Amino acid sequence: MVPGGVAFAVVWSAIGLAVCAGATTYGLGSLGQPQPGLFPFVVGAGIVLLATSEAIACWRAHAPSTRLRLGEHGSAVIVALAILCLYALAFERLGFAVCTLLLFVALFRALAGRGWRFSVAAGLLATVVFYVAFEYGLKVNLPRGPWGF
Amino acid sequence: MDVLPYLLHGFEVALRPDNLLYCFLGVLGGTLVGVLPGLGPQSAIVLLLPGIVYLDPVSAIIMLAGVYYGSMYGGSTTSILVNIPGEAASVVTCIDGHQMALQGRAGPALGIAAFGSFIAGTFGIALLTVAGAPIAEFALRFGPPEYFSLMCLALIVLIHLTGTSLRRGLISACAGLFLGTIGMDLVTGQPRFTLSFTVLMDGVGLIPMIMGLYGVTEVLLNIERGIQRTVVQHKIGSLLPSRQDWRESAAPIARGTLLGSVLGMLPGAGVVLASFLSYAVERKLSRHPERFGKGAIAGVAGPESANNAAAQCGFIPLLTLGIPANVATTLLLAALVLLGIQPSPMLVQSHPDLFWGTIASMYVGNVMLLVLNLPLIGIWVQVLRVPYALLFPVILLFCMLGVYMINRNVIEIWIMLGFGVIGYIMKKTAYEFAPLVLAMVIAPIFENAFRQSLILSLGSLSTFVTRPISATLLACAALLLLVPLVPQLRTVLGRLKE
Amino acid sequence: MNKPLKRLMTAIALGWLSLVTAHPALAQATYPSKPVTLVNPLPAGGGVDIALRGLAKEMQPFMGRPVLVESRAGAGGTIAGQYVAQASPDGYVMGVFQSTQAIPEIYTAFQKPPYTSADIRPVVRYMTLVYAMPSRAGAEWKTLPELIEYAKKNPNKVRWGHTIGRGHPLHLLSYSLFKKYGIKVIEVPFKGAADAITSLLGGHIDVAFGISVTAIEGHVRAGKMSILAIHNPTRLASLPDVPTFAEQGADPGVVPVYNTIFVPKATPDAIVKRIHDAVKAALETPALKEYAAKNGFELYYGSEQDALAELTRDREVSSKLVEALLKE
Repeated sequence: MVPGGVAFAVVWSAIGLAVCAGATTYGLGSLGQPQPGLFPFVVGAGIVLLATSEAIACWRAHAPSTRLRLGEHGSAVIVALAILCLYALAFERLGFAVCTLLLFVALFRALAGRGWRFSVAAGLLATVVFYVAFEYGLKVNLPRGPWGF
Repeated sequence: MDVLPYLLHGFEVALRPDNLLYCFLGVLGGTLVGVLPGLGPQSAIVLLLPGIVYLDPVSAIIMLAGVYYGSMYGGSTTSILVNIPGEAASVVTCIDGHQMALQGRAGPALGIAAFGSFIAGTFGIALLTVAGAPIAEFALRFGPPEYFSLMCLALIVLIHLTGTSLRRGLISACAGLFLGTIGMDLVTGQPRFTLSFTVLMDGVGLIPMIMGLYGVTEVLLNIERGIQRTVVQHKIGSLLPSRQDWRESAAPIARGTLLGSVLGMLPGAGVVLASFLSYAVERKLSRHPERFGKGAIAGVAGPESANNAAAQCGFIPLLTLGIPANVATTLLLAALVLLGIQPSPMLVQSHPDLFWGTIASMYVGNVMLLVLNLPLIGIWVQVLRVPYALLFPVILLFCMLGVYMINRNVIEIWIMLGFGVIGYIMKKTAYEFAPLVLAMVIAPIFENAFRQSLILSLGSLSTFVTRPISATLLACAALLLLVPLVPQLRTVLGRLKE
Repeated sequence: MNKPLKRLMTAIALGWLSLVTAHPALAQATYPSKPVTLVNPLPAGGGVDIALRGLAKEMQPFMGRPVLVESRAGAGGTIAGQYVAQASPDGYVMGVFQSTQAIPEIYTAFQKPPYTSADIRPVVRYMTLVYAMPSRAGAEWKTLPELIEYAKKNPNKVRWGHTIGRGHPLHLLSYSLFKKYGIKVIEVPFKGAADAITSLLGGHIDVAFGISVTAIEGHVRAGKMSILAIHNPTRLASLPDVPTFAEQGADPGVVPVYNTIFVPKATPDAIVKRIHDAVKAALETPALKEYAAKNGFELYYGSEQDALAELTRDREVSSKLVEALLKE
């Protein structure tokens, strides 16, 4: 089995190669007459070299040192990310107030394991506090939904 | 010039009841925006700009200046408590500060940050009072070649910043350098690596990146560990640093103050750079480098002093020459213009009330900040008692609103979430991201200075070694690079002799 | 589902529908019925922002609703341009654009712009920002013709700072001078005016173009730099000794930096007229005139037709320059 460290190092080298490839399209020039691609190319090459040596070192050490495996509550991470993405999607469409209420209810209910009643109450309270603080305290005009708030 | 009578006059202005009030409002507001992740002094000053035209110019500048240096005090609070930097300059404070909080030593960490900030800030103003103009004139001699050499030095020091694995630290730093090149090329105007996203024309934003890597990542990691069980710390030890803490922090505070003062005067990335370099220096000089990353108080004292000294010294070029040292002082400059005052080297002569009043108010403001922050420590550590299950939605909301408000663009939220995922993966695979943040700050200055230098010297690389300041900086960099090799060289030489 | 709940849902659905599909004519009759927003494409705290805040304040009484200023900086203004171009055409979102946002198709040479000038409609022009060409103190030249003469005799000697990327109108002005007089200089790009000012003060460059007069007036009075020329039809009241480009026979031919209010293309004429009238009335107020004089911008009224004529002229001049620039 391939040790985890090697796999990650290989991914880094691939990123480095992509950077180098991208950089060449902008032109490299020379050290005295650098073109836009020179600096990113050098950086990309640096990533490739370092990552390759890291891969070799991990391989030699035979250590399955680190592994990207989700922990006990791994699925909760995915749920959290999904909720955050939905918030970003809806933020300018539905407005700050509605989205924030939904965000709090979802996070309390789905991740903090609170009941519906608590989630809605706490969500409402938090939304009102933040709405007042930002809208009137800081005078930031946050996005409004089609219903005017 | 005899400074004292002018300064006394300045205190007369600063101690007027109305100015005292504005100074207090400023530092209080600054502390608050410093504490709120994502909201920086920039957004606060922008918010206040429309209102200040109704104020007396002296009061207005006293207040806005207070917001700026006050935010440097507040920035460390969230770094220590919840591992989310309030400002870019507090990124390194997370490393040891949060560890201290986990060990029940949030009080001493916050305390030493406040005292260090006070000492450094006061030293910075003293420097501005005594030698502002000549220092600023000297800083003007930093042209593109000098900036290039300075960034070389910073990159070498960065190597010492990396903790467990040098190689992985360097990979992370290179990734940061790459991220710093994204956006419009300075010389040709060509967009690089923007993948046709218009937002990326200006490069990846520092704040969305930091909020993602630190804020979102931290929350995701805690969620994974099981949110109901996550408690930051039940036990809250003493609130103030002990005598032992002071002994360990005295030298770091002194060094951080000096480092911050020097870097703060240079227009550019002074504040962020100062805190990172201070951390690296402390780690290198410490008798117990192994303690760093595990709650060493020197790792909080040094950087926090450095960023305050740098913030305070950022006023030197602004007030004595009328040129800004960073984004926040650029906004202060705009405020001056709004108030009908031409920023120029003539400010001292043409508006002595404003100049000396502002300086005197900074002494006052720093005392206020200390008095304000010490009792706050007691309140802040209570935040640690709030169950994380109630705290994390608020943290997430602040992060998202903070990045949204930079340019009122939802894409910044997406960028932040992206970096949250990247940070999560990097953390799980044992790649650090502090070098990435510093490298990204350095990259554009480094590259632009390099290319501007070569344009000015018509392509001759000798420009870096023929200019005295630049040559000195490069020599320091070379020395730092070679010092760790000395013992190895000795053994090699010894073997050769045999 | 029980009956009352069902009724409630229907009511909500109907309310929602009526809101979403509200006829534009209905909105027009009461325009403006809520705060209107002026979008600033450049960073908050800059010259445009300062000017806009003054306009918004004086415009408010004539609009009868709050006028907000909102900075949506990024990508040289393209982000704000796109935002306005895609906003709903009801007059609540207006952009305050300069040439780069007004005619993005000719200025964004490297990347296809996300909208074009066909998507937006000019309403009224309200000011110009006056840009200056400062020169380092103690330089070998005192006037613009002397500088050009010097640069002709000493190719690749004058260090000329640009405050903005290639192809931007402020860069095109310098470029058109280079072409017109056939001079060769060392072109040093900077990220913004502040960096260029610092470099001028430090003597790392000799001249620069693309810095607003207010930013350097203080330095000029302190004798730390001089202004060779300003890009404006007339001299400024605050700096009567500083000549214009045209006066010195060195008219670069580039259209001065105008600031015009734009709305989405489909905005009804009645709303456009309403905004135009409010801005025009605000421009007449003594308060705004005083504010402009204090903050270094020139009020400069122009109707929709004036603005369109200016756009056409700008397009003709600049597209040729950009083309020549791309061939290099």
